[in-house]
Amino acid sequence: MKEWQHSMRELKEEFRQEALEHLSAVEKELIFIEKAPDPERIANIFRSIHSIKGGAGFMGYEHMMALSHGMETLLQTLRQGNVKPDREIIDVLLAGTDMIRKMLDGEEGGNGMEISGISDRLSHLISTGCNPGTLEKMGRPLSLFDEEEKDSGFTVNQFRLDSLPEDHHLFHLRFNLNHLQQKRSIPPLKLIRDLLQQGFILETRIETGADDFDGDLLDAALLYHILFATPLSEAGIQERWGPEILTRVHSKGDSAPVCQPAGQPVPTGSAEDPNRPSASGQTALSPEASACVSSLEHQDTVRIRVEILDKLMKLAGELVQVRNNLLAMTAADSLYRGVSQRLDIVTTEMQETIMQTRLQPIGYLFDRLPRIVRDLRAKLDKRIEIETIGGDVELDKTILESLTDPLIHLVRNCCDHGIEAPKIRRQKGKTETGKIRVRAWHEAGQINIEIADDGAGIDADAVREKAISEGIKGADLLSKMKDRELFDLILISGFSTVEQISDVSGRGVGMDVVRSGVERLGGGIEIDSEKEKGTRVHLRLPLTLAIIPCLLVSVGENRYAIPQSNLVELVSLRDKEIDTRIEIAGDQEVFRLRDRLLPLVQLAEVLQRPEPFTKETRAKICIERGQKVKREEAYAPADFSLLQKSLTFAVVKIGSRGYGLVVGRVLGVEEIVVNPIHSALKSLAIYAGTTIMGDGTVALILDIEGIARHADVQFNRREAETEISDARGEERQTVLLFKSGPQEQYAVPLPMIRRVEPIGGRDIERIGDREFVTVDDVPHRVVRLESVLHVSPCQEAENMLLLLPKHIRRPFGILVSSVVDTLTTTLRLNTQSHTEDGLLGTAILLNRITLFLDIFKLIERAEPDWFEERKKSAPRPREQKKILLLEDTPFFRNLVRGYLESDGYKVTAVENGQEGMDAVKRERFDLIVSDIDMPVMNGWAFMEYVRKESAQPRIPALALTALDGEEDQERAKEAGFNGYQIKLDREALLQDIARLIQRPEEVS
Amino acid sequence: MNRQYCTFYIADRHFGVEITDVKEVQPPARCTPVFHAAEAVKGFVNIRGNIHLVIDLRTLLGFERIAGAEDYRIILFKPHVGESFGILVDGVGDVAEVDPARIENLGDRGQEVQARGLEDVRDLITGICMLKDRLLILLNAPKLLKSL
Repeated sequence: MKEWQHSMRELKEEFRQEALEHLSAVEKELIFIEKAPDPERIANIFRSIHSIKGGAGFMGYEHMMALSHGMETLLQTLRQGNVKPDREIIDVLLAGTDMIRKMLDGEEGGNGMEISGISDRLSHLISTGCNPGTLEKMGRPLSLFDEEEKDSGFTVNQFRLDSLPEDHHLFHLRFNLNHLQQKRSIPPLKLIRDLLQQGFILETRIETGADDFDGDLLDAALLYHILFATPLSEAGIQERWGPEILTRVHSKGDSAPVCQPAGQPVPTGSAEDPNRPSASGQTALSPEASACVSSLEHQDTVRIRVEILDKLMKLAGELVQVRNNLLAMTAADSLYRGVSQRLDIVTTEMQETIMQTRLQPIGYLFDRLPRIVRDLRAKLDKRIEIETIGGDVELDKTILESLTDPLIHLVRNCCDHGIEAPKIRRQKGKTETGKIRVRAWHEAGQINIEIADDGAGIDADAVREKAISEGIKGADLLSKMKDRELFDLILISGFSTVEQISDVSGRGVGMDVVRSGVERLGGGIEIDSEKEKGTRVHLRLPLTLAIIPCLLVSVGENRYAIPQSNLVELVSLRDKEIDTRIEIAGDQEVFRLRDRLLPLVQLAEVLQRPEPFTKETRAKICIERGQKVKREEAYAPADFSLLQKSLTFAVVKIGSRGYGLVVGRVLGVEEIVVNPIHSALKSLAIYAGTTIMGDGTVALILDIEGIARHADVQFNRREAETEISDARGEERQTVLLFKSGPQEQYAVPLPMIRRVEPIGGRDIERIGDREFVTVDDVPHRVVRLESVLHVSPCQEAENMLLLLPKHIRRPFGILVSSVVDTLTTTLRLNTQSHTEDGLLGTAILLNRITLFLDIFKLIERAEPDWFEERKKSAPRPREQKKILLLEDTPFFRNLVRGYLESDGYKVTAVENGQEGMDAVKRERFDLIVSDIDMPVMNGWAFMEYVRKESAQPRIPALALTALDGEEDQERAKEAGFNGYQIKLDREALLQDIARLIQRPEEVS
Repeated sequence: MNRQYCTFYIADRHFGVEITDVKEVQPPARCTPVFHAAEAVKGFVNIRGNIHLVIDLRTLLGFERIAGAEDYRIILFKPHVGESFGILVDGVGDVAEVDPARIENLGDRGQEVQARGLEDVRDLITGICMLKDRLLILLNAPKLLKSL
């Protein structure tokens, strides 16, 4: 019973597939005949709808049958040239195809769906389109009787009979479908297909004792009655299909049989060889029947189930693996090398051939576009033409299917946002009709698809504004972005520049869906646009998904594959580079790769942490990295330590953004066969699939975007050393909490820390009254907090930590007994209750009073000599100099003010450029130190004001910023700054200030 | 008609799954761990070119994981039970013929289940059956996968 149900399911699916193919053909032809009625195309449409009707009747889909019958009748009137296919007719026929499509996806072929609306429209058009005589004929049902005058149970209207070709006879055929299927292995759909090639199925009905169509069919007799019109004779029918019962029928009341008796004897040739109708047989056929025959003759294609292709593909994949195995084994053996190389060639070729079986022309997809444009044209009241080029370019069925939605979305976008209304186009001096061009071509083993329109283009400024208002990027950063980079923002989720939301597009979802859809396929997307000229979207896709080149990497003893399409390059760091070139920006590890800060993600950490990363997670990882390296070394076998310490990361990309994925080892590049991940584990975002390696073990394929999401990679850490989280200007900082003595808890802002280095108590060496620890072969001066502050002494232990600060020229570290935690907190330092030189202030963190250290002051107190150099080279000026400090975050404002004041300057501190302007108007200053990224008015604008409009256009000015890059420095110079310092290197800052104040002649 | 069960051991308890659900029993094979997956997921294993998900039944049933048992086996299930998967068991026993009439439902045998530390996984148990010398706990194979 199960088998039968199974085959019913298969049958339904087969019918569905076939019907869908018919529908897309119909849709395409309908668009054509609207422009130019072509009898041949109308005949094609008619045949397709007729086939659907035949199948639907068999499947018991009554509503679908009724609907397709109505469409068929309307098409019949078109065919006879009574009516011209105007827009209304095409509309309703298209609506009909949509409805059938819906029904195919619905329960029971849409038997429960309401079709009266569309049926009424059809019959209205039929009735208006036909002359009264025809109508009268349509309304006249005729019962059909066989030669013994027995009622056949079929009725058919006069119009239908009259429209049959002259040489056709009517037959009542009865098939027992169970016999057909079981004894003669003829699937019902094949029967219907065959019948349709030789004539018309006018009506069908199924007669069964079974109540449940799905369940009881096996045992019950299943009689399939068909009213069939064909030029064949009884003998011809018997020969071909051997129905259980065959009777010739005619309508009652007619003296003559419905159709003329056979004009000529049926040639025996066609009966003997049903596959190849003889020449004489062809002459007897009506035009549409001969069209069928010609398609029969050219049948050099075979319908194969996709399942079988998938199986073949999988087997080919396995063969590739066996080959890989064998190649590895026999590489050294010249005897086998020849054989295995031949196997290699054959396997590759076979794999390619099988891959081709899955390829389908992109034309299938392109064919749907004119229809979409047609609908939108009407809805939007625009004039749009679409042109598709390269429909014969083939690509993998899976890719084609997944490409459908993104491509349709892009074309909709063109219609909705791109092409302007005719009036506006006229005003702009363009043709009223907008053009969309979709082009596909092969290039470099990839499929390229370009969707271009000649519409309004994308307004780069609107994108910029939108990005600012959405808080996606800072204003000054945006102002520096090239248009191309700016357009990439459109691909970020929730981004739409269209003010009015329409039901066509512009909901701010979509482009990100397009992007993720394309990227899931291993492809890429690029947008290019010129205002008022048009927009061009370029998609790049792989030819196939089943076998992809991957970079294999390992973490611990497990191997992982990174799809080559995500890969940009590999970077390997050795020894000291690891510590010096990886920095911490906020709570994100970053690497400076050719003037760009690349966020780093450690694959090992991602794998170990199933919970999505938070700020705290990232901060912990930053802190632990140093310790981890140490620990791993301690556990490593002895000879391992002889190896150089190295760190490798793959630079991977998601769209235009990239990050570095730190891996254990890189194993090489291999073509791997992709298996989908087990459905029970689908929810794991970090994997894209599984594959079997050459040695037979399973490896996981990584989902680069999923990993970025999981690790919550901070892509824009250029400006993010300090974060301002809310509008009130409350500043949030990630801080490291630690202990030294048993009593106090200390904190240091994480951006000030370079590394936390684990040391043993015995590693500390004493030289005179100073202590040192050797880190990376360099002796570091150890500062104990108790020696510079009034605090409890550090707890001596086996394992201690050394805090290595950033921006310190001399090797120096603060001795710490343990790290408590990292946390992100609003910084409101209390500077009243406990002050001491070397402390910034106190705050309550984790319910304890926490002392915030001022690292520079601490060093100065511990090693005053280190700073003598600067003080000597820049002796304090006779009169006190006045400095205007612009800095929006209170933490940095206080910190910098403190440094400047301790060097003897008088400081006026303000929060932004606007306040700075007011201050400059009020007072004279000797120097300006300004942050760049500030609310209300940023540093660039402020500086331009000072240089162009203020009373002191030549005042020396220094930019102090977290932005770091040649571009930024260049920009600072252009804006009029004389120097540029990065937050926060105190010594460099003070030296620069001293230089500028001493020698104002350098200021031009 | 008696029903046949494929029996196996976990932590000295005797379990069974319907033999019609079982495709084959495999000796130990290298499992690729899947980080982020539920704790009971042992990993992926390649059986003749097909990738199977292996569930560590010990963990799923709430027993301690053991490392390096030599005679453990992987019981693979047929496709109708769920997408290619298997369970890792301590060892495989005989095929047990069981008279369906003698299968008792859990309600009556709550204490036995409790005594065997299986109170938390009642949902996975279809029934229990007293064999000659010991108690056989019958598991619902499709639910093992769904419970992940």
